[in-house]
Amino acid sequence: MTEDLDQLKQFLDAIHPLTDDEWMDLSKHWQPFIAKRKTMLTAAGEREKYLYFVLQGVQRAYYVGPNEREATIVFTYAPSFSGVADAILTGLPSLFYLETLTASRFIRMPAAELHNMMDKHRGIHTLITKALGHTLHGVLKRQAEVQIFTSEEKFKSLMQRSPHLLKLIPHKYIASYLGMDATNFSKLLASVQI
Amino acid sequence: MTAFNSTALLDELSSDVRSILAYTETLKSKSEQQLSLPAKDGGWSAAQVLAHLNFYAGYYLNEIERALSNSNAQPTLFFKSSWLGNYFANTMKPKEDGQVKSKMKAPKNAVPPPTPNAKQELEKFIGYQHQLLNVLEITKKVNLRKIKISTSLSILIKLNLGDTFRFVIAHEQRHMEQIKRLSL
Repeated sequence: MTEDLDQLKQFLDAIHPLTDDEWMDLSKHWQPFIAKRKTMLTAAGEREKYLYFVLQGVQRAYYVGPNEREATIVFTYAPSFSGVADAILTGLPSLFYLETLTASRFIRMPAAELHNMMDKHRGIHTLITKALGHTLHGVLKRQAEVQIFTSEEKFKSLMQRSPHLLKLIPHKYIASYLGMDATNFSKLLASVQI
Repeated sequence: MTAFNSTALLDELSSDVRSILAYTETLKSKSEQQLSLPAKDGGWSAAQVLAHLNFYAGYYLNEIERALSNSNAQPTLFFKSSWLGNYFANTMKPKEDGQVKSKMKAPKNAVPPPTPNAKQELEKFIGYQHQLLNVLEITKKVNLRKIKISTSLSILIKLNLGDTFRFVIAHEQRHMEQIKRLSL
């Protein structure tokens, strides 16, 4: 657990360093949590109860639309936060399902406790705001790409940004993330020179 | 005797309920007519299966919530399944590939009407699953073995709370496989 918290501290320090007092208060709320492959952590319609910090494994959040169409929204893997971010912050029911794709190890803290910490410590508030800024940057960039990029351009962009995903994640989910079917994805993978 | 880590068991059962919810999400886009179509072998329609499950969910959630409000027995790290509870849960649970082990016949009081309102039953079922998730969360603070729940078979046949959850959720999983076989 101490090592796990060290990893979290390292991750947080890179975003916004906390004072010793803030870190002491924050660190005591985390609990270890392990999940097998294909464990559903959150369902659509459910409130998000935890903020997760990923130590091992890959997770994905996805949306189920009309006619059983499914959109993979995001992958999470170590070291990063996981959990349905908007639902954690707004307290609204999640729009997404969150599942583990591989056996995963986390530490997690109750969402309610995060809100307390943000109210109590200015540094933690700043940290979360900065982390959200980075997340929003990524989300908006992806939004632009989804609207104007061709399949090939989306694929190339992802491979430049996160080439290691190919080894971590079953290809059908990467295809779903890019909004193409698995066959097209295989063809692209075979044809595109990276 | 089968023993489980209590929290891990409750987490796994919650994951099972969420997977059931993810599956029912795909039923939302089906028409009333599709959901009301009887199986080719004359078996239940999806709407009938859901009505059947709602009968049980309504009964057990009510019993469980009442038992939870009357108990202050502390949780234990490990939960030991009873012989009967383990047997019930294991016979209900479909195999990994979705195959069910043995055919069963529903008791008279749990036989659904021939044409229930499909959309209403689906909404109700989804509501019950969310209620079940809440109850599973609350259960982390109580004793899975000491709390007893009367089965719907007879007030005299009781299962402990842990086995009741295992049994009820395995029963739902079993019937989700039945709906999948309808290939709507």
